[in-house]
Amino acid sequence: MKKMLYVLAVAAMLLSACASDEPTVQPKASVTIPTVTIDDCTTNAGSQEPAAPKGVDYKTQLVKQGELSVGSDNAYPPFEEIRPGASEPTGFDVDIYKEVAKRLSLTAKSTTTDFAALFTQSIPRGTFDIGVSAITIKEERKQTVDFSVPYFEANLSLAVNVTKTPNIKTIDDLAGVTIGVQDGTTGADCADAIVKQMKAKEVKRFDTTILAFDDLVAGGVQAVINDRPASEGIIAARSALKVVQILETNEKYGFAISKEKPDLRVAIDGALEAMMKDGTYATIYKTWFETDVPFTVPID
Amino acid sequence: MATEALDLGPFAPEQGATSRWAATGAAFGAAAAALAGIAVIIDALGPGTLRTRSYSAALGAAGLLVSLGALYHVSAFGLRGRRLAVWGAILGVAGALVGIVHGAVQSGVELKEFGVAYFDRGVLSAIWWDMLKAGANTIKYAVVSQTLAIVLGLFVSMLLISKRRRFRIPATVYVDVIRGLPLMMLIMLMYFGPTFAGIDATFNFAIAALVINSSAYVAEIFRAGIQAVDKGQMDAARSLGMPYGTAMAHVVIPQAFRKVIPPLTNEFIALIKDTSLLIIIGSTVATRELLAAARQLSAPTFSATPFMAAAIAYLVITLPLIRVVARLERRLSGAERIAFRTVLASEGRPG
Repeated sequence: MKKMLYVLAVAAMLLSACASDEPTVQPKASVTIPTVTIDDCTTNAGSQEPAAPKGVDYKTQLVKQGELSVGSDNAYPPFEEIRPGASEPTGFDVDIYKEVAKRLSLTAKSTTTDFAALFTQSIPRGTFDIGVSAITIKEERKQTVDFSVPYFEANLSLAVNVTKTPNIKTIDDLAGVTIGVQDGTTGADCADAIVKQMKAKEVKRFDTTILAFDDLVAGGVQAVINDRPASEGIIAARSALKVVQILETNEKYGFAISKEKPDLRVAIDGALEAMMKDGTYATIYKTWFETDVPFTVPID
Repeated sequence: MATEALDLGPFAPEQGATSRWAATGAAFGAAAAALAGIAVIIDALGPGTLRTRSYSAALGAAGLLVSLGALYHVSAFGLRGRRLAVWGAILGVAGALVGIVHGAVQSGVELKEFGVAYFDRGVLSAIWWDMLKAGANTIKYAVVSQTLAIVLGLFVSMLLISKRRRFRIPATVYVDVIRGLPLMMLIMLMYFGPTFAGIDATFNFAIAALVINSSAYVAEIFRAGIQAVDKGQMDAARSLGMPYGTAMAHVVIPQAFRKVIPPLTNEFIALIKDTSLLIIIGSTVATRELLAAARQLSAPTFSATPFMAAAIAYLVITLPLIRVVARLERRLSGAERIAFRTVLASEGRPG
């Protein structure tokens, strides 16, 4: 009898935490969201100097033979995420690098890792061959890694909790507000700039973007600044959140590649450009975003 | 055993009891050091720049000499004590380190690059103030959490030792469940959980998670400490007419304190390190603790030095604490003795 009581008590305590989310990744095409350009949120986007190949077979530059080893935080729908019940990540980025790997006769293998560490540790030290995690091409990051040709164009967005703070409509309303960001992202840099410019209270940094949005729902932060496609992808499952403003930064995503692997970079660039020219890229884009590609490809 | 041919001063074999295990351990340690030294020398004869080879040869020769000396002592089997075993272990570790460093140098790892990555002075001078502030936060969170946890844990331990099932069972369930859950999960549950009830997430809930987690361990520690006090103490106090509460507070718990201090120290040190889990709920510059600061500072500096600085900071915080508490323990043992004698004396028994 005593044992039964104990078991029941423990079971009752454990059953109290059950929440399941079914994220649907369909960003709504919202032409009505206002856009603003902020000089301070510069990303030094775009250009990457052409590679100086060592003239060796790119296959010798791989971490493991026959495998394209990818580092990603896998927490960024619709670009990459691991859906409940799945053992492999899925997403736009995933399809892109799988296609690139196929064209290079390799198998892509993804490992979930820390986003900010990609530039400081994992890629420069050769833990992975490439980093594909909706990474914006930035001057700063080029100190430690090289980038492939750009494969996506995006802007940042401002998301708020409309049930808790319906009055925040633009970045000018951010005085005294705590802004949530993912550590090491362009959104974080922009939020830092906004804190200075708009007298926002402070910036709160999270390991993943999803945690930042969770905190937005929970009321720990009142705004989240992050890339727009991913913001809309994550918000789709959280009805209290809305994207209220787009920050036009014209960021371009690229694969992060170690500086020691210029031949691999040349090979990847070739595969990406071929994909964009022959329509494979457009097909993948349509699968995930349900519209035609809104920017010109190949991206310059 | 033959007398020594050399006067080795402090390294001379001494008379005394020994254990065969200790001597065997020492023998293994010395053998490991010898093997490492030999391997290093053979390696040094291989390819590589002259400088590397000469460093390696010097290291290898040193390893061999040291291990030969140890073997000499071990050969005096039956006359060595624990000291030999310690020496053997130290030599074994030293030999292994020599082998590792040498192997790293030989395999092309640039020690200079390693230094730049992990001990960059420029980065250190830029980050030290931020790291200090973060360290203050770590200490603050740990101290606040531990204090509250001790209060809560003491209360729960009273329930754990209660004779009444209605108190004992919920307390046991509480302690078992809390100890069984990963702390990071507990932090996330307590931080994001209340929002389902409409309460905004606040940082204090995360601290509460630390308190609750620690309180479960503290409760177990106190329970064990109290039950380790001789039952005769409680009987003697009750027989003097003290009510249960007074007896517990003035006789039993003071004696239990000495026993619980070492495990409580361990719990506090674990708590200091557990504060690093607060990174999961996000941190601002003002609230971040050491690990979050290291992470956030390594991005703009593109260096791993902040992590090394954080590691050293954690050691700087925990190591003195161990010493302070050791001294406290010696003090409290005096009080325990006084309490014990007071109770006995008033019963008329010689104390």
